[in-house]
Amino acid sequence: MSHVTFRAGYYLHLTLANTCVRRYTGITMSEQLDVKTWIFWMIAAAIVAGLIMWWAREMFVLETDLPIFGN
Amino acid sequence: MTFSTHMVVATAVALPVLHNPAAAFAVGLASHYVVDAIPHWDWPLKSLEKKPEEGHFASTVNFSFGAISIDLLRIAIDTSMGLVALGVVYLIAGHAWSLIALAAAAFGGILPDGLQFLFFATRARSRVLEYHQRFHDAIHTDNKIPHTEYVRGVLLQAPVFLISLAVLLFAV
Repeated sequence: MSHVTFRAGYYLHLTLANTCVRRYTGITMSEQLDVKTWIFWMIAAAIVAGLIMWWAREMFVLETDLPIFGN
Repeated sequence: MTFSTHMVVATAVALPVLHNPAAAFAVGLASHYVVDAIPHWDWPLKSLEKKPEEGHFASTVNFSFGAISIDLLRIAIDTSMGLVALGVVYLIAGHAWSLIALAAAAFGGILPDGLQFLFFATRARSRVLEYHQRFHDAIHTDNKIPHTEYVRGVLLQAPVFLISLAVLLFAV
């Protein structure tokens, strides 16, 4: 299960980075960094980090655990 | 990103599992790749220089006493900043956290850079490390802020550090 999740995450990230971003925003990796690019990646990273937090909470936080993160 | 940023981000992302060292380590490790996708600045290593223009994975090493000393000093300062930040946060908001889990998350957050160094610094390159390096490179931003632009680099990295600290302090 974890292997499948890992592979899925890996390919999802590559797809986002290599296809969606370049095609729909015109941002290419070699471009001079501007604030728009930086903000885009900040938001993208925050969303992925949030998904990881949600997944970790679903996977590892039991109802008997200490009250943490709204559990 | 710098070690201190990776440590704080890793701990913030591992917040829901800061009672479980193994899970915290795994989540901290995953967070490394996520934040490395953000265009960022790094301080340069004196003992290792990548040479992408000379081929994939090409690098030169300089393991002189001076180069190693400067790198170790920088690593110590960088890591200490992360430890101090995490220590303060732990004292303020960490009553329900396991210290081992917190350390595991922070360690997981900086491990990929250690593996990267091992890969580039060894002559007989491990296949496992090569696979990891390819994965790391695939996710890592190509929009690297030049080493000399440290003011801009620090200013753009500070929000990542501070937002993560805020998550640790206020999201419990």
